[in-house]
Amino acid sequence: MIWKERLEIFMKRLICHQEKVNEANREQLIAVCPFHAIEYNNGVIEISAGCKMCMLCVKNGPEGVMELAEDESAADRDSWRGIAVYVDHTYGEIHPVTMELIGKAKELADTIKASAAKAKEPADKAKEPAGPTGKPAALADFPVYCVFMGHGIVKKAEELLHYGVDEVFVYDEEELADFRIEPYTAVFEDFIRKVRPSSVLVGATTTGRSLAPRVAARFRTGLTADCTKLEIKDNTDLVQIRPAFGGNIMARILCTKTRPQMATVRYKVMNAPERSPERNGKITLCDIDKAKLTSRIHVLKVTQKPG
Amino acid sequence: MEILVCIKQVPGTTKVEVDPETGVLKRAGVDSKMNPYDLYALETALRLKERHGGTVRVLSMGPPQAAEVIREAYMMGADDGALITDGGFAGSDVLATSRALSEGIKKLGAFDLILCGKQTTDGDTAQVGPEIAEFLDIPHVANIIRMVEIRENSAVVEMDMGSVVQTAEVSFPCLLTVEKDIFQPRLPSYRRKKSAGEREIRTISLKDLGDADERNYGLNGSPTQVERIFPPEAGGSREIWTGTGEELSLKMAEKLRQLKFI
Repeated sequence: MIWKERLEIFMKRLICHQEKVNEANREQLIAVCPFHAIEYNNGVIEISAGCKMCMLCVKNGPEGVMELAEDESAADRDSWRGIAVYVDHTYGEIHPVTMELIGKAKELADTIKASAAKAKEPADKAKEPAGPTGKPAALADFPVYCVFMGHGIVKKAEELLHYGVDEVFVYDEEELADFRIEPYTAVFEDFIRKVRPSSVLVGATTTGRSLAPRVAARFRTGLTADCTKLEIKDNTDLVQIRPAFGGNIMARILCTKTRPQMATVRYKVMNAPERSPERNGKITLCDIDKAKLTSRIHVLKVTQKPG
Repeated sequence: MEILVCIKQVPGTTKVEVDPETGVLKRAGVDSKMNPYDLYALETALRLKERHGGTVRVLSMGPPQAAEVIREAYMMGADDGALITDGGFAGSDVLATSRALSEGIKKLGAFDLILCGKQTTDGDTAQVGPEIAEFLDIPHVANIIRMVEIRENSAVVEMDMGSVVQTAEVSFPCLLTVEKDIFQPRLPSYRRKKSAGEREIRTISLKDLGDADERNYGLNGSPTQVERIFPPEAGGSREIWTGTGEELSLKMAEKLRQLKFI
């Protein structure tokens, strides 16, 4: 087990900025690797399994070509905070599964905050100064976020504030009027990079089930489909319980190596909180580079289903 | 048109065994079949080929005996098939599986259209299709209920979005996951069945993939771990009510609402 954890620390990734490779520096780059792990195949630089992560290509190779990307993994648990809920909607009409997920997210966030408060108590009594590694103190701040993307939705976002969300991030763009996978994934990615939620909950609607895996794959992280029960550990690991094999087996699933942890939940599985007459929390309008919102999908028509 | 269909071998029964040490499902030695939802994807591909020409290839990933489903696809009319198989893929979750399949697809060549069933009957996740599309950096549309038309360089499809149906044009190359009942799957042909046994099935192992880093596959490359598998709680609770028809019907309606059945 210790060995495995050590391995994860070293799971950093080498990234090659292909656009910076040219005929002049290509040979130099290939020659710098003592393990012959840098290859030029079909017009691209590839790193073979021979790579020992010695970093000589980063240090001594042509400037800016090779980069060491920190794997945003388990070592990093503390910098991913809070629980985000994807606001599922059809042309601005919010699907009620969203409120149910907010209810669950609040419950999970409260568990973390309660355990953080409990862990802090003895330290206070002993009058120990809160050090920089004061993990529990840091986790006392574990908000519930919503991410809402679409067009003409700013007013509709206000409704969410009646259910106890801390912050609603709204992306209101013309390009997001129709559900199209590439721009929706791009926005989701932008949100996760900015906000860094520890867990992300998505309603298992037809759109949610299409979007969540795309986002999970982009972050090379785990996604558990159709959870029927969600719990959370003090270290923020989400315990995801779901049926498999047509309900003949239940599985407890963890995602300890990567963040964010992602789960989809079906409608009518969790309970929505009571709508409070007051609004709490705030709405944050977000901008995104229009170049990220291009799509190879054109929506021709939208038809209301009968009934 | 170059079409690829992703298919999977699933247990023929829902009575499955779990390895108590690793928590991984034991697949060997259990009766198996092609994932029923994949039949719809394969049928869609065959119909498109009949109308527009081209080839239909199938790709699967699993233990060596999963070659059986490729043979099954041959019996239905697939032109060619490959199986990704390697001990290094054991225990792959959605991410590791999608990565392996996308690498396998790159190995097989360029496709206009990749078709997947809406989900499998064992994992039930419906996630592998969209994740493959992400690894390949191509658009995808899930839950296709109707193929409207094939154009020069795109497909027009209808997607079920719950309360509405979206009609969209998707440029090639793209990945589509099709709903059950999009077309009625054909039965395997007897003539093809006789020849399917001899036909070649290409196998692809981990070292054949463009990204051959073994840390990206199998248990190592899987961000999710199944911590424990357990039988569901038996719903043994019973209530007996007495009263008039009116009282009981009101009580029944209330109870159903409480249980979220209505």
